[in-house]
Parts: sequence; C-alpha cells; structure tokens
Amino acid sequence: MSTAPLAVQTAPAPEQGGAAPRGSRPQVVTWIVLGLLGLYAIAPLLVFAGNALKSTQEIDANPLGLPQSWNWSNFAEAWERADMGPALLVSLVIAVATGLGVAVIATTAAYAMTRLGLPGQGGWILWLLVSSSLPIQLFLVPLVSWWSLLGLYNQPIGLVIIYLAIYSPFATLLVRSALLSLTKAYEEAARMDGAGELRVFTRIVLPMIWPTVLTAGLVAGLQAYNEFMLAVTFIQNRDFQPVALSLYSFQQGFTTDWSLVGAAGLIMALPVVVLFLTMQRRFIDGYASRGVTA
Amino acid sequence: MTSDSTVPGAVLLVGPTRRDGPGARRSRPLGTRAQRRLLAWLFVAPLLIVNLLVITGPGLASVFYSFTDWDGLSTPAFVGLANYAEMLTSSAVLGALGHNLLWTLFFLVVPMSMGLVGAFLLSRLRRGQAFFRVLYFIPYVLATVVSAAVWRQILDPESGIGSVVPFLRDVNFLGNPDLALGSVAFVNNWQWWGFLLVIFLAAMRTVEPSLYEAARLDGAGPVREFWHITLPSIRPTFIFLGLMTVIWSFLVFDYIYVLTQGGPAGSTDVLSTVLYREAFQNQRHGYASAVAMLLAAISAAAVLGYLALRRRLRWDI
Amino acid sequence: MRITKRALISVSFVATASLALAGCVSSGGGSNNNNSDGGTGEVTYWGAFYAPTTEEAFQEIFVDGFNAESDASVDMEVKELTTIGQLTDTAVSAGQAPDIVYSDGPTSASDFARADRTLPLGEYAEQYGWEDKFLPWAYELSTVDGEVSSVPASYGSMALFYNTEVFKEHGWTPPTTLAEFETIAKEADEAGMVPIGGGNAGYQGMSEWLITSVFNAAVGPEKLYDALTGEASFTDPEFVSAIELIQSWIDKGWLAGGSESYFTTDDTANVTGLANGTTAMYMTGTWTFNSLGEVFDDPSQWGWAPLPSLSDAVEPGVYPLAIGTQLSVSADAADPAAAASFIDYVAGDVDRALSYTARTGENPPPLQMSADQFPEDVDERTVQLYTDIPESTNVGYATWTFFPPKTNAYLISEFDKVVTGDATAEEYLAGMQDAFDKEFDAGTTLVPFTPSSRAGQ
Repeated sequence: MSTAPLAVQTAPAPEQGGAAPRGSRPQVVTWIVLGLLGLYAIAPLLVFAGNALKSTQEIDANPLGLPQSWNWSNFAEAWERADMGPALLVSLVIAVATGLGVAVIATTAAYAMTRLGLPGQGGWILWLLVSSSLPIQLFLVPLVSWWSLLGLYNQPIGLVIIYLAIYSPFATLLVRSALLSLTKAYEEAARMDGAGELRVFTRIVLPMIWPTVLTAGLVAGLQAYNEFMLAVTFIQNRDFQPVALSLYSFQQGFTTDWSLVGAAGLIMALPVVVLFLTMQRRFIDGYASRGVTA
Repeated sequence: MTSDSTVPGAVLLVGPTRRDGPGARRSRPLGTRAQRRLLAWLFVAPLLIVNLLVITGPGLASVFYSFTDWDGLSTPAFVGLANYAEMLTSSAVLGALGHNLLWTLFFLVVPMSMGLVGAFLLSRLRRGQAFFRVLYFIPYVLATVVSAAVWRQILDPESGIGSVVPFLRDVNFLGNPDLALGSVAFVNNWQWWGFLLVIFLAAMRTVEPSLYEAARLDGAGPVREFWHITLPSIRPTFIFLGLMTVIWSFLVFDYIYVLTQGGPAGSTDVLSTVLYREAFQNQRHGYASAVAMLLAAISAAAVLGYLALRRRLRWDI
Repeated sequence: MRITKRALISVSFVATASLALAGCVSSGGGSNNNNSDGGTGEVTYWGAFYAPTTEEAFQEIFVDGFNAESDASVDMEVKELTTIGQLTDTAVSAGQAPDIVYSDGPTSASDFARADRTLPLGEYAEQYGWEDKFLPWAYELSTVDGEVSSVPASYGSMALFYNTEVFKEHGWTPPTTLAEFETIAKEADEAGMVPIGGGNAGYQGMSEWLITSVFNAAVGPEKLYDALTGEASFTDPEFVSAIELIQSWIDKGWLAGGSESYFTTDDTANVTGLANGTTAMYMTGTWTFNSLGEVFDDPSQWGWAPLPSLSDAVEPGVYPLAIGTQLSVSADAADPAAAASFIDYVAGDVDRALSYTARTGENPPPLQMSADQFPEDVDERTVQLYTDIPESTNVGYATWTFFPPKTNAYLISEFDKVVTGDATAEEYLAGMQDAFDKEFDAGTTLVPFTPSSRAGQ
C-alpha cells in the first residue's frame, strides 16, 4: 500500500484555499447567493447593535431605524449594573475549561472507539445519541442534591463537569467521524517503526484531526459561555456567577430593559467574536500544514 | 469477534473501509492487544464517568419516576403505566409531537441546504472566504435571549418589519397561531445554519482536490461537482448532522420558550415545553419523566432506524 | 507495561488538566456560603427585586439594619423575579434551599409546609405576636392544618389604571359600572386607542391578572367564595358570562388590540401605552405603582381607581386581595430562630415596612396599620389604597393567592384558547372545575376568608 498519495489527498496545501479550483473565477451567481446569505445574517445584527445604543422608549417606538441619539452610556450602565467584569472572567474560565475538557474527553473517547478496539461499537453510539436526547431540565433536582453531596454545588467546577457531560456526546461523534474518514496508513507505518500507541495518537493522528478537535472544543466552550439555565441553578454565589446571567439583570419587574440587554449582549459577544476571528485561521490552516508535516 | 476496532458492520456513521485496505490490519503485533484494550478503556473513561454521573444516572432515575406520581417534594407514589396512558392520549402531547415533526422537517431541509450550498460556494472562493465564514457564524455566537429579543422587535406587528415592508403590514408573526411556529423556526434557523455551514466547510476541506480536477476534465459544471463529488465525499458528516438534527429537533426549547412560551394557545408547544410546564409549573415530575422517556424513545428509534436502513442499503458509512 | 504506565499518566493528566482551570476559580477566595455548614446566627436569603434601587433599599433597610441590630447575620443573594420561583422550587426539592424560603404566594408556601420542607412557625408566631400584627385573612392563609407555616411579606390588589390627562381631554371619569366602562372603551376605540390594556407576551401569568379582575368585578367575591369552598361550580352561568365578557372585548378588538396582539403585548407595552395615551385603561396589580412613576414623564399624571362593577351582581370598587411574597423557614435552616427573627424584621414592623414602601413604592405587608402611620413621603395614591382596603367590605380573591396551584396553572395556560377562540367559555371553565375538583378532593385547597357580607352570620 502506498501512503504518499493519500497524504496529498487528505491534506490540501494551504495556499490552495480548500477545494477552490485553480483558475476558475467565482461566478456572479456565487457572489449574489453569498451576499444574500450575508444580508440575512447581518441585518438582524445591525438592528441588535442599533438597539444597544437606543433608549428603551426608542426601541419601543422605532426598533428598526437608526438610533436618534447614540446612548453610548448604555454600555457603561450595563457593565456597571450587572457587574460584568468579574462575571466575564468567570465565564471565560468556565468556557475555556469546558472547551478544553470536551476536546480532550471527546478526542480520547473517539480514538478509543475507532482505533483502540473498544468493544461494542454500535452500543456506544446508541448510548451517546440517546443520552444527548434527554432533556437536562428534568435532572435539575437530582443533580442539585448529588452535587451538594459531592461538594460541587455552588462551585464553577461543578458547573463545568455538567457541561462536560452534556456537550461531550456531540463532540465525541464529531471527532469520531473525522477519525473514521482519516486514513490509517500513517499510523500503521508509525507502528511498524515501533512507535507506541500514545506516540501514534499524539504525534500522528492528533495533528491530522486538529481542526475537528478545535471545532468540537470551540462549539462546546461557546455553548457553555451562553448557557443560562444550569448556571442560574447551580451557582448561587454572586462572586462566581457567569456573564450569561447578567443579561437577566435588567428586568424591570416582569419585563426587561432591552437596550441594556442589547448592550450587555454585545459586550458578552465581543470576546467570542474576537476569539473566533483569531482562531479561525488556525482551524483552517491547521489541518493542511500539520497534515503535510506529519 | 476477531481482533479489533473497525469491524465494518459495527461502524455506524462512517466506515473507512474504502481507504483502509484489509492488509493494514494484520501488521499489528499481537502482544499489545491487551494493552490496547486497557488503553481503550482508559481513553473512554472520562466520557463514561461524566456521562454516567450527569446524564445516564439521573436518566435511569427518571425511568423510575416515570412510573410514579411525584410533585418533587413528597414521596413518589407508584402509578404503573398511568403517566404513559395519559401522555399518549393527551392532546397537548400529541399536538406538541406534531410540532416537533414539522420542526424536524424544517430543520432537515432549510438550514441543511443553506449550510451545504453556502459551504460549497464558499469552498470555491479564493478570497473573502474568511469574511463570510465569520459573518455567517456570528449569529451562532450570540446568547439566545439576546437574539430572541432582537427578533421579537423585528417581528413586532406595530413597529417591526411590517411597518417597513408594505405587504407584511398587519402580519402578527408571533401572535397568529398559524404563523407562530414557522416564525420561531425562521428565527432559530437564522442562528443555526451558520453553525452547520462551518462544520460542512471543514468537512469539504478533506475532499481530494484531484477529484474535482478529474471531474472538470470531464467537463462537469459546479452543480454536477456538488452532486457527484462534494456531497458523496462528505456523506459521513452529512448523515451525522442529519441524525443530530433529528435529535435536536425533538429537544428544541430555548427559542420557543423565549419567544412564545409555547403559545398562542399551544400552537408552538413542543415536547420539551410541555415537559417543562408539567415539571415546573404543574409540579408533575413523574408525568414529565414519562414525556422525557418519549423523547429518548424517539431518538433511539431514529438511531436504530438509521442502522437498519444502512444495513439494507449496504452503505459503507 | 511501558505503554500502560504512560497511558495512565497521560489519562490522569488530561482528566485533571481539563478541570484544573475551573478548579482555580473555585478555590480562589470567596466565602463558602453553603447554608448546611453555616454556623449559628447565619441566615441565607434569596431576594428578587423590581429594580436595582429597590434592591438597594431592601439591603439597607432590612439586611444592613438587621445585621447591625441583631447578633445574627443575614446574607442575601439576589435573583430575578422571573426565575426566583423556579429556582426556589428546585433548591427546596433538592434539599438545598436558603434558610428563608421565598414563595410568590401562600399556595406554594403551603405545598412546602405540607411536604415538611419548611418548619412550622407556631412558637415564633407567639413570640412575635404575629396573629395580632397581621390582617386576619392573610394570617389565616399562612396556616397549614391550623399552624402558621409562613409569613406574608407584601400584599396588594387589582385596580384600574389610567392617564389623568387623557381622561380629562376626553371628558371621561373613572368608570364604576360596566356601562360606563364600555362607553369609555368604545370612545377610546373610535379615537384609535387600545381601549383595554392586556396581553401575555413575555410572562404568560399576565392572563390571570385580567381573569382576577373580571372574576371579582363580574362574578363577585361571594360567588367566588362559594366556588372556592366547593359550594358552587366554575361552570355556573355567572362565570360563563364573565369569560364571555372578555371574549366580547377580544372580538371587538378592545382588549390589547385583538386576539393576535394579545400574544405579543407585554406589561411594559401596556404601561408605556398609558403614558403615551395610546392605551386608555389597564386593569392590573398595584405592584405597578413603582413602574408607573418611572414610565410617565410627569409622574403626577397616572391615576388609579377601584375596579368598576362588571355585572349587576357586584358592587363597584371590589378589591381582590393578593399576597405577592410569602416567606417561610427552611427545614434545613441552621438557625431557625435567627431566620424567623429576620422574617419578623422584614414583615412584622409597620414603620420599617412603610419606610421601605415610601422609598420604593413596593407594596407593604398585610399588617394592621392606619393612615397616620404612613410616612409623609409615601405617594398619596399608595396611602389611599392601603387605607381604603382595610375599610372596604367589598374585598375579593386574587387567583394566585386563593386558587389551588393546578387550578391556577390551568387557568393561565388554557386561557390562550379562549383568546384564540379555540375554546368556548363553557369548555374553558369545565376544565377549570375538573382541575379544582381534584385538588379539592385531595385537600390541597386553601382557606379563603369569609366574604364580609356574610361575616356576621
């Protein structure tokens, strides 16, 4: 079996920009479709950004138009009222811990399922899929009592463990599908050369599925960052409350100050957007470059 | 049961048999098999532990509760199949189930095709790919409560889109029972499809460029390339996301709860809003557990149905 | 064994590393206010407030005040009004409730008491003289099987709210009869206004504000009392015509502007509508007092009037009584005596409670009080309400205070179908009676006070 051609096949060179055919010009239709999709994505975002700058009364009267007066103070007020600084820090730690944890848990589990001869393949998948179909709301009561027994209630780490559990099935299956479509030729070659299993895993396989692992971790971290119901149930201590709860600090009785929610939502989304902007190069280039050098 | 891992029949979503010749398997030294098995269990242990603790454990407890009448406070009273009997004849549950099915259909068609087409077009771009990718993905980044608030303002019958677009005047998207479910699905799709696009895009990057080149030499246009090369090549991801879409569509809760709370008059009720209401407003945890069992049964049926289909069609994935 | 050993190290490394970051947070500073291991004198309390200024006032007047005067100390965690109910339910079910358990009314407080999740408070009631301090109807609602199990911390009623300027402009005066009410509604409709505020967007429970108003003003306290004690049925013609009255308002497009917009109108929109002159009348709870002040540019412009009579059977000016907050002591409380003394500090002292009302506009506890006890800075419209109610003999029953929980949940969620026209008044009320029958047979209904017209009998 020859391994060299496979390497090329699974690892397009970075400068190629994916499957983009050399010399073919993107057609007008492509740009129109992509533009329309872009409009669909961005128009509500503009409304959102605009509302963060309006007063509540103005949102009520004129939700779609440009703000008449630019209330930059909304941001300061939201920041202060919800005490967003510490909350953001807590959230970032929780999100990073969840993202890292899920990436590790999912990758090792998927590797065990596809490469290490874990028995009972179909059963694992059935179990993972069914357990991701159970509504976690229903488990709040038993979990709160178990968590307090274990000393995990009211602790960010307790929340992280729950996130690890609920976000890892999808991530495991995602990484698993990447591993299954990956050739085994490299691994076999490395094993023939006497490399240990761990070395094969960390040096050969991991670099090749890196983008998927990153995606899995990123998605899990993001979900943890935005999660509300579990956070509000498991963290009672104000010092440890994540930022998703801040969005609920602007209630006026039974209704909500939407301008402050908008401002807080924008503040909250900013770190994630920045993270995604910086990460996305890595998670596009990563595959190609590492794949080639492996 | 011969030796190890990828016995093709046991592989659910993706079978690598095409690229993975049978010859590869024999080269492994036999002495390490037990060690590999141990390593396998160690590798899967973290997943196993957190899942048992957080999901499977309470899930099994819910199986028990589903046979009881329990308000969450007092001792559960065993009632046999009464909860199931009530559930399967309840118009609220059956109506919700119907809405879940519509929701599933919508999410299998609309965001999946938008994600696929978007990713395909994007994968052919040489410039601007990163820009669009970020743009499409940003809605997914926002917290539900924030994007729902924005959409509630956009869909407001007085001051929203109807006040700008003449033919939408007097359309009450969330207040009209005939439109509400579709409107919520539309909003959820806005946030969702970019996520699918990013995953599809990642999968499309693994497609061998030589395949496209060969097709192009045969004179294939973009449409044929999409159908004959891209789609078959990413079938593992496609099927996986399809299956997850089915499962998630039966779990959907956030957007519905924030936008309509299941109303008007139950027209956007889905199983999880019914479950939530029964558990937390009516304090019927036993009955809510039975509804959860229905959710689990549906997803198990979807998975098993897929397995059977795959065997019959002799798919290698 | 080389691989296995390394594997072990590696696996334990990834397992710990995945949690290490979160561990940093959980070990970093911060007191452990898990209530189970708090020493004596420590009391945990979850509060939810209308606005930050309300929270601040509560913290200063009650928490800081108590901590300064008492040996015990209270630690308050702030929740949101929309989530505190469910949070408390979950925490109580899981045995992790704060020492002082919040309920949004006597019904859930009595559920907790029946399940022994909260303590009987008989000895503290005696110690602090609660029976004499509180209004009898509220005290009675706080008992389960004859013993006090919770303490009412705020009460209010339903009223008709309007914009005095708008009323003056149109030459309207607050209606007292159905005919007057509908005349104003008709004229308001013709003037392009939403005649009757309402809706349930954002909070489905808003529907019961309307139902409470209409039940009390059209069916009347006496009939309600009979239905709540099993002597009459919700399917009786009085109830049917009350629901049909609401349906007629919907059909005419008066209520919230019609069936569809009922589902997209929230409380803010109604209050804002009053301020802008786009909504003519809004029947809602007296908790609205503090939001009106913020929404009206000129706070002197909002006005309230007692509910009009909506049928011949009821005298105008009925006050449905409602308890907004009910406090009890968790069965797991480390120091129940300290918890009870904080409850008394919050709810049992007229002057302190009224100073809080003066500052925030919050409804006071149902204490025996007289007009001269109100500080001067309490809004006169508030004083008027709380001096009118004790004098009135025409008082009724708010659904969330006097209806058993499942009947109440039904009343809210199924009302949607009345609005869309999917259910007739008879169908809706038949279901309500079914739900009530079950709870009545199970003995989980509350004891409503006897209507004053019969009190002497």
